[in-house]
Amino acid sequence: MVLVLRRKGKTGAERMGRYLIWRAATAMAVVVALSALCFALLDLAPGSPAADILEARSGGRPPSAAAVTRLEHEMGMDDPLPVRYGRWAAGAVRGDFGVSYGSGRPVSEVLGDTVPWTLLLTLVAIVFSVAGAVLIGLAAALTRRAWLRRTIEAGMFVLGGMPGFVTSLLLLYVFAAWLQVLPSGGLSRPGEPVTLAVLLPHLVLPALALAFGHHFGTYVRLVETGVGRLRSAPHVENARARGLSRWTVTVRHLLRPGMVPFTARLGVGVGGLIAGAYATEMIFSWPGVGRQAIYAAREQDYAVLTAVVLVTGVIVIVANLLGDLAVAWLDPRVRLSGGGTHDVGD
Amino acid sequence: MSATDRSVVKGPDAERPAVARAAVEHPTAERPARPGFLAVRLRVRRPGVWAAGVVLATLVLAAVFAPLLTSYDPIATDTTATGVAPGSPGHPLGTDLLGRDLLARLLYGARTSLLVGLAAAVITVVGGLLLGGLAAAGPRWLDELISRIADVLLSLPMLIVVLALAAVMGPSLTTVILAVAATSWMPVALVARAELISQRERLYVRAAHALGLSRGEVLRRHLLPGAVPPIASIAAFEVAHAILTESTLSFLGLGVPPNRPSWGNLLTEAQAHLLTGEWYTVAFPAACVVVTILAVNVLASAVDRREGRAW
Repeated sequence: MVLVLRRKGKTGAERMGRYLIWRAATAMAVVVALSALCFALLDLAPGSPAADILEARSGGRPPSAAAVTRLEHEMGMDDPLPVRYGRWAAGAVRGDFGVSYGSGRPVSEVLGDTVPWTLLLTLVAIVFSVAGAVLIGLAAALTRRAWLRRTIEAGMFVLGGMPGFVTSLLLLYVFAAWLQVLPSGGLSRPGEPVTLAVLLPHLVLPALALAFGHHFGTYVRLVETGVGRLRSAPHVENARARGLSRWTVTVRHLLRPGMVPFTARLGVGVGGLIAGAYATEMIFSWPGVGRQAIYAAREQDYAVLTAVVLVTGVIVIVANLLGDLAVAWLDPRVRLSGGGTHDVGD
Repeated sequence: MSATDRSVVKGPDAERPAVARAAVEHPTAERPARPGFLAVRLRVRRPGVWAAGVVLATLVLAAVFAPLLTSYDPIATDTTATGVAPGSPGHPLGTDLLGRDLLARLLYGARTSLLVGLAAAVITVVGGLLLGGLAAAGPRWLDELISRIADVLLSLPMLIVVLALAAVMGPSLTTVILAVAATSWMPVALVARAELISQRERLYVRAAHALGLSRGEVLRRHLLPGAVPPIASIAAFEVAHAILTESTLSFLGLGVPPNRPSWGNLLTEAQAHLLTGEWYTVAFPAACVVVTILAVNVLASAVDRREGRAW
């Protein structure tokens, strides 16, 4: 779906400003919707936190119904829905997500321990992914050898059918079990500081698995079609005729404008990467937020689960926003029309 | 486009409006054939499409006739035959470390995985069509509401939402199907809506209104047929997507309950054996998932009129 807003701004900067405000406003609306969804989840979740707390206090004995009701009243759990949502949202804004049902630690502490690891993994994966997509996409778009193009196309098609965890298992088998050149996981041992020399080998496999998941084929195809469409565009022919070097023509006149659809998709793709990190983190026992979320879901620790959903959702929304801004920077038409193109992801 | 073009010239209705009226009032009365629904053009000449069709048909048949193809119980453990390598007599694909026959588990797993994939895709497509139709035909505020909800859901990483839903609803087959459907109806709805709106203003549709056909009748006979090809393509991709999501959820231990074999469940249990040498307990279920998704994708892109990328 293409969403184009026409606004009458005077200058390019003014229009860019309007565009920024519009995008930020929609992003805020999505965050609010997401928080409502998270709260609904927390509210609908079976079981009562008050009962859990009482049970933990009394050492495993099931509490009486009266005691549960009393504590629920003290915790304000019988207030009307909007009041409870307001209180929860106010806490969430300040980073207070309550206490983990399972471990009793503050949820913010759990997040602080895990989110940086996931961000590190995702960022490295994005670098791998972009580098790979640009190289392979350029090769497919510019080569004159049909067999190379066909091979790339077929390879990307096969990759598109592989769930992230299958890619992870494949890499794990080849590099950790068969060749035995990289560790299979186990980065975090309690009490042992993680040095760079330990970190890097542990990072390679999960980052590769994440980068070349089933979204990678889409990226390559976007670079390929983006660049391929421009290959004989007038401005490129002109640049060649002026005698610019092959390198300059490729980078400045083919790659930069040709990257627009890819960049637009990449913002959406970050969501896929973070979601894909769930399985990857489990397989390589990476101490990130995805693994934490799976544990929380299995143990029905809804306090941690909703916080994870909210935080990763916000990260994804911010990434989408950055992707759209990058498109506006790359493509003057978006910037100057004051509207954005919004790509439908999967 | 072919669907709409044929709709324009179709039927004797144009010449005999009285009969058209009669057909509306008495649905059982003489009614011209509906050419639109067969307008999905499969690129059947491509060998890849045939191969994909054969692979899928084989898998479906194998799932349906699983009890006839193997005499083993997929759940029963056999302590006398643990970790048998593939190719052994009696166990063509070997057994896992609990002595369960891998072929039997794959066949019964195909039942679960394909069932979940199909059921989720059907619910997704029907729900998406209904919501897209409502958005296109209903009042303005409803259109806005549905479109905005679709936008919000599209901007969230789906696996996270599915995970949260699955955790709240508890692990079961229904949970997986509903969670997948609830998080993947948006592309169908948006495409259906856009397609219906773009067709609503065409001449033959306005002519049908002028001839006195009811809104429902116009929708069924003139609008839906044109929307079928793009939606058929999305529907096929949704099947692949549903199978992928089911296997991922089950693999993470949040999908189909572990006592019921599914390809994702098989992989969860086998994962630990990868480093100890029983690679085949991982390789076969993983191959099943990948081959199914690839075959469905080939068929889907054969239906797709926009991109001709079928092998």
